Amino acid sequence: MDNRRMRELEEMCIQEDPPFCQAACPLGMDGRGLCSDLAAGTVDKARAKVEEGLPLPLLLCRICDEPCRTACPKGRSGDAISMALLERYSLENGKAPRKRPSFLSPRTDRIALVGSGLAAMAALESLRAKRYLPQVYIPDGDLAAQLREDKRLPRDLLDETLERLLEGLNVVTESPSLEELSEFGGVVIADESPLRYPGPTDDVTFATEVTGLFSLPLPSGSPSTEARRGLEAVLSLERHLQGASLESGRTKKTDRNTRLKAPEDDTPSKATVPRGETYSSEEATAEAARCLLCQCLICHPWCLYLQEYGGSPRKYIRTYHNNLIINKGNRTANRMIDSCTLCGLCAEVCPTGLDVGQASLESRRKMVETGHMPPSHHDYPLRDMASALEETDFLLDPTGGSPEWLFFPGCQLGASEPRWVSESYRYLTDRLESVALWVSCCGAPARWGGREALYMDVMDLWIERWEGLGRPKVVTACSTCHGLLKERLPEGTAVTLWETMDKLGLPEEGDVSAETVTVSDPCTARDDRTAQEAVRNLLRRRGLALEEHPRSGRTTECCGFGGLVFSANPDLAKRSATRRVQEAGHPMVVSCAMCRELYSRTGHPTWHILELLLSPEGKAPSPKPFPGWSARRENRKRLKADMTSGTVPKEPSESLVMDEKLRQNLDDRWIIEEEILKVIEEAQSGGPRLRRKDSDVYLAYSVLSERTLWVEYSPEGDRWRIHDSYSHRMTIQEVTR
Amino acid sequence: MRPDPVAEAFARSEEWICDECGVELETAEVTLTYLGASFPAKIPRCPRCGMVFIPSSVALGKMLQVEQGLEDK
Ligand code: SF4
Ligand code: SF4
Ligand code: SF4
Ligand SMILES: [Zn+2]
Repeated sequence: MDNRRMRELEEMCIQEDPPFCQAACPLGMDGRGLCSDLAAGTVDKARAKVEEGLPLPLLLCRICDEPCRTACPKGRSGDAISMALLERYSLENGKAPRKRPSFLSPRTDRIALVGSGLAAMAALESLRAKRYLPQVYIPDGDLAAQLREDKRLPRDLLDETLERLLEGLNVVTESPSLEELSEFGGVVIADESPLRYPGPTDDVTFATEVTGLFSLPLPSGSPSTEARRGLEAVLSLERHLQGASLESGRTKKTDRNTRLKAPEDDTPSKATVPRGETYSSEEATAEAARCLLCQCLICHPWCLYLQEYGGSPRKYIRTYHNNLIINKGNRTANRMIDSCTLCGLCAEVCPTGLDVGQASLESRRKMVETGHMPPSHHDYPLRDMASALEETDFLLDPTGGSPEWLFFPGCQLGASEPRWVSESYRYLTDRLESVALWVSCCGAPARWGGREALYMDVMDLWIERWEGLGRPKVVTACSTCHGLLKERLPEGTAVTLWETMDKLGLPEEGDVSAETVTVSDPCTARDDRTAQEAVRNLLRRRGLALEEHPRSGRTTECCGFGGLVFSANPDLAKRSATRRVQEAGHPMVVSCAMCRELYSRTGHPTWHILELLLSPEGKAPSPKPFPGWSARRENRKRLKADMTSGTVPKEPSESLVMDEKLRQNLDDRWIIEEEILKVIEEAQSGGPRLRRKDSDVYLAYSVLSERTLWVEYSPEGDRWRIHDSYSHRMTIQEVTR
Repeated sequence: MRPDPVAEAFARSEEWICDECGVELETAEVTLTYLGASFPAKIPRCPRCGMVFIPSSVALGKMLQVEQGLEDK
């Protein structure tokens, strides 16, 4: 993932865009932060925010015209947040932030400020904060002139403010001549007097044709705008004095906007009206608590992964990128990058369509490319893929090379239940002219693991073989295969088994049972309306009452198999599956073999649709539990043997005995019985082994490609009792001494 | 960062003997490698044929920890 691409994706996330109030406030006041502080009762922090955000805060909070209110979505159906009152409450009730004493002496630049009113006062306050000592010209004699007419501003507050602002300055209560002004290194004119610069001024910087002379336009009548103008003029003056660019980075600031979308599900409420002139503590808290704390994070409630590591997808993508470019130190985000299911749900719900999975997948590819993909993360699924491609791949082609149809159920359906493949195949051959069966893998694990070159190899071979068969139409039974094949096959070549059955008729007639089931769509079929409909039709036709999962269709979730998360972050995958089944009101029906496995592993009764479609009229079979990885491997072998009428090999499980707890541990450790048997057979035929003293318990190991697998076992009749098995990836190199 | 499984391993190694040679295990220094990094480690092994002993507590504990550390380098 290059820098530009990373920025593009990061930019798509609007989570860090300002809330509506802040975007509308000419001063950019963090109204959301203020509300969240006040709602939490941290008034001191709130006060600090107001003092930091606003010039002349005590004045402004009394007279602000509050453009923030027009923008606040609370105002759509109720009252907007009373921001100015909250500001005032914070200023009057929070502890004054500790002022750092300044040990620097005032600046010596000769500058002048001309005018009166809020803009002039804000400019002066800002100049003083920056240690300038301007010469002040007040043509109408009173710096606060116009403000005195406003009854909301107490006279003594104005006087105190003026005293503070003007203290120690040289004040002249008349207009300067232009000649006089030309002697200053910089001048700000904030005044309605004739002195206001007559020529054109820049809207943003207030620069005039005279270098160093900045002149504000006629007063706007909006106190917040006036205050902002005063600050902007000072910023220009300062840049001018420093010889810096006046414009740089400022255009954006003036039209501070937000791409946030107003939340839909807001309950309207009335503003809290102060009983006195200002808010009491209860009133302020109540008012602040009405704030929606506008931000995006629309994706968060949908996806456990996006909650898992905290912060917005914007932060996620930044973290990915930092992890990729790290030179020294630890790549601590490797597992984070590998924990996204790549299911595309975020892109469905995100207002800008940002697909975090895209960033994750591209990061994985980069990790693989640079040799930084942790080998253990995808070890099991890649081994499983290799086995599906090499050991249990088979083609059954009664037509001898030119079938009209090719049934490609994928690698997982037969692993879950061989019968689902053989009986679906029989169903198809009964109804279609010439159908071949090819059981293999589409390469999805390689793609998900970021091994794009490997994926392309698998897929290219697939296409080659399909062409060798005369380009038959393809019937799929796995939505992942289906999606990947559709990327490569001509339009209309691949159809799902579900559409096909919906068209050709049910494999078994009659009601299967009267129970209500929750339909759960696989994430890789979220765009496949046709398949989703067909699944529902088929189930209804077998007499089932259907309930929709609250997240279904376009916004369905992943079971945890997607993106190989079940392997890279098993715990997160389990929690996501658990959350999903908890939201299902009934036993679930799925149309993906891996959904079946991962949901049933949570203990929730889950049927594969074929389990229901293939069972005869009457009561539905009770949903089977998760068979475990070993049994799934054996199922595949059995399917191949059955269908190609080869000799059925003795299954490892027939030779091994172990208790259920250990069996589950082995599943979690990605150890399958086939491998255990290999280690035992090697040890029994003379390989090295240890023996527990005074017993017939043995401990042996074998190096199986990347792993060293240990097995503790003892004979039990003509079988082996397994006491433990575990593996490590470090190799024992040589004996040093 | 150095794996030192010796303490744990020893605790259980006394329960085992090399089946082939019929002798007790002794501690020996070996080199463990993963992803191009090597560490010396003391591991119980048969003094005759060299058969080593790594219990599950070590394989799934310290060794796993070091492996994962190296994978995130
Ligand atoms: S009350 Fe005024 S200063 Fe405060 S946030 Fe609203 S517009 Fe900005
Ligand atoms: S609801 Fe709160 S955060 Fe949103 S615009 Fe209104 S005051 Fe600002
Ligand atoms: S939905 Fe999520 S990814 Fe999209 S903009 Fe909002 S926070 Fe960002
Ligand atoms: Zn020995």
